[in-house]
Amino acid sequence: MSGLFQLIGAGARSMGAAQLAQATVGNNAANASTPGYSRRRVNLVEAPSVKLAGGVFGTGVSAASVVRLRSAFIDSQRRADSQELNYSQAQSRLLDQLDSLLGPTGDNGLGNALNGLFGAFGDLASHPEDAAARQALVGQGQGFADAVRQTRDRLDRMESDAFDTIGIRVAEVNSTAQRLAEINRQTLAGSPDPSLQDEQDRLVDRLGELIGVRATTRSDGTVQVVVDGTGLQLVDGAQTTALSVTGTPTGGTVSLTVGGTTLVNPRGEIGGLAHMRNSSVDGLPAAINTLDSFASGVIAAVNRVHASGSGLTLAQSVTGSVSVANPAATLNSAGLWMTPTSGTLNIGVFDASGNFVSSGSVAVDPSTMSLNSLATAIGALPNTSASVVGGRLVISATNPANRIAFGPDSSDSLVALGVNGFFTGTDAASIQVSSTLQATPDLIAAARANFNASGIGAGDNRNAIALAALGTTRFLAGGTQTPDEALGAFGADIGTWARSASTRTSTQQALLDAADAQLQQESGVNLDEELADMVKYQHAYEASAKYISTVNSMIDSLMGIL
Amino acid sequence: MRVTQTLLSDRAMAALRESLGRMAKTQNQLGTGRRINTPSDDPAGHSTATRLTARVATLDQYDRQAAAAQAPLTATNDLLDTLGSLSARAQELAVAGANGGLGAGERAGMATEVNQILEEVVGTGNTSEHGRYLLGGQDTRTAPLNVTRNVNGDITGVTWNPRGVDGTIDATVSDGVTVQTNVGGTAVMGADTDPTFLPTLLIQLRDALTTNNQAGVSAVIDQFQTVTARLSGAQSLVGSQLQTLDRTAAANDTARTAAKAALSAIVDADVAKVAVDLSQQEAIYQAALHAASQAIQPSLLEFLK
Repeated sequence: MSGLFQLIGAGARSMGAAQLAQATVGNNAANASTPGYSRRRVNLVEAPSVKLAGGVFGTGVSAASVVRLRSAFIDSQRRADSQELNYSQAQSRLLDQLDSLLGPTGDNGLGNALNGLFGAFGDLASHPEDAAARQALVGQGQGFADAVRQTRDRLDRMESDAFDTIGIRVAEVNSTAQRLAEINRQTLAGSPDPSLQDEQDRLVDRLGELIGVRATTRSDGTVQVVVDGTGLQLVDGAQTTALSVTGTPTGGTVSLTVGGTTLVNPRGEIGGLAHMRNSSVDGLPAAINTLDSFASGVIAAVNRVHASGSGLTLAQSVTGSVSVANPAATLNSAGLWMTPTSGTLNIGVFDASGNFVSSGSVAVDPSTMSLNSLATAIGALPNTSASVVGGRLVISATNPANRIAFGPDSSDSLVALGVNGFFTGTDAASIQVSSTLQATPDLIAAARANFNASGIGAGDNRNAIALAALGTTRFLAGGTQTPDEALGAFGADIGTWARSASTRTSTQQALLDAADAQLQQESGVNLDEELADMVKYQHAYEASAKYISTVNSMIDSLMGIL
Repeated sequence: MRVTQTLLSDRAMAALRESLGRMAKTQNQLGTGRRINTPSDDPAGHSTATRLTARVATLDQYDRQAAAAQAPLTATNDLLDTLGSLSARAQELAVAGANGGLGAGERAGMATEVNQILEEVVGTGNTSEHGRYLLGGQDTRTAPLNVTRNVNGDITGVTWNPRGVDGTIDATVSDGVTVQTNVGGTAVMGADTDPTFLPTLLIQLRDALTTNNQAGVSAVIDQFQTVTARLSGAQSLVGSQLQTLDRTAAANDTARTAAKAALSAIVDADVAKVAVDLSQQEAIYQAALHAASQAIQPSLLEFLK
């Protein structure tokens, strides 16, 4: 009699096990496309046997546990691929912006502006007396300066965007790490839970995408996370260490620290952004340096020619556009954007009708002369006075009715101090057409003053020809590149960086796809399998129910005898 | 290998994404007609294209400069022609005036004509073209010839602008080729201190004719040889500059055609090839779409009743 009731118990236990298995199948099918979900299986074990008079008999089946099918090895491989993908993707995104900034050839803003500038110098050489040619040159010069400054501005903005994004991602790393520590705490408190384990994996994956990590699962079920390539712990059990970022939005370097230790070569999206932000080889600083040296090279070359020329009219007083912090320091140690050399500077004085008055020259030695002593030496020339006002050199004709003209300057001090220049400014961020020339285009130096009775001819175009000739002169990159060649090389650099970053990205994407496929093979849900299982467990359940009803009718039969 | 539905749809999506990306690139090439749209499309090609674009711009600029140089040179050529015929007429008058059979009245009539020629010579010498005095050297905004007149308004003396009239104005018309777009005043008429300075000579002739001084008139005749030689020297200078302009214009054209052809070869898309590529990629894309829909559709669900 007790044997028969035991049989009902076994049937009921088996029905319960089939029900649990069915619940797991249903959950798997429902989560087939849930990211980070690992398929689960119910471990079915035979229920403990009982020893009866006739021997040992089974008592049905029971569900021992629910386990996730997941491989830690595939996970760590996949994370390594994912952090590298995010690293090169972050670079690729910025470089693509840079790439399209330079845009198609021909419509290239910088290139067109450059051709326009030297074309306008050529037109000035054709029509030195013509006000329209001078006005057009001011416009083209300003167009070139604007294009250079806008490009530089875009680069600066990309730097600050990268910096902002790093900040946002660092905050995300820290909140993700805290969430992971919280789950570790829950894991310590309770029994193994497949959905908590999935959540742990998801959070570690995200940390890997952001900064590149390695994770170890402890025997107690908690996860310890260190920054890849270092021993610096982000999460250990319920403890977290904050990742922090230091730097300025533009310029300087951005550094990332964990618990006071600087990360040398971080990976993931943050690492990729930090590389772009810091690298002077293929990052934004490299592009900014190249653009700056292009701009300062053009400023120096154009101003060098312009400074020694004369306009249709002359000014009574000329002020340098470059200021010196300490006018008493020698010129080669005063921190000028370009250092003057030893040489001779010629200055002449004309009257208001253009008749020659006097001239003189100053021998400049930048290792012994300061701005103050240069001003004194210029002031000693006949009919000339000079002073230093606010760190800038001011040269005037002593008689207010007279005018100042400049002759050859082998010392480059006029260029270095920004005196009588076409451009003001010293780099891509500050380049402008001199505001004096914008206001009075007649001051643009198309001519060269003769320091004798011939004076200055309105039709003299010698200086304008020399300015136009710069367009085809190799004066950049140590005298190896014309301005258009320098722009071409700039484009080629950026194009090469963008190309190699996008190649790296697609390679990493392929690797990650392969790792994803492996993960899917291990942990993905196959609906056909689940449907087959569903049918299987349905039948098991039905069989157990049938068994119970059979045993029940046996009991009925037994009862009928009584 | 265990295959899941997610894997299938992920792979199908990846294939579609890649195929669509290639099509976008090809379509962009077809739309813009360019093979290189950003530097990364071909870094070296982009750099070469930047240089070639600048080269074409430089050659265009040379053309503009040559056109600008053409105007004053042509005007100077006309000016020299005028001076030539004026001095030839004056020389004829001098030869006629030296004829012993003439009377004072006839010589006075000739003097009036010579005076007229003198006025024309001075006027021609002060010709300006678009506001630039042609014979003024670099001082193009000051009339090169200064005139002194007596109470009757007759010219008694002519001098050059004391600042000088011999400054040259050059124009760059090709790589390393410059032309002189003006002729110095003294090269045309001589220095104002020179006895063969054309206005001085004409004043001398007029005064000799006015005073019926036959010997004085004869003395002038030979001086005209120097005048003529100087004028033809100036004319050949201007002529050779105009020839240089023609020659470099042709050379610049050739260079520009070559640069544009090279630029087009680097930058322009081969439209026929790109169109064929595009239709191929479309076919591949459609095949991938079809395959994806076939692979994703079936599941056991449809067969379980």
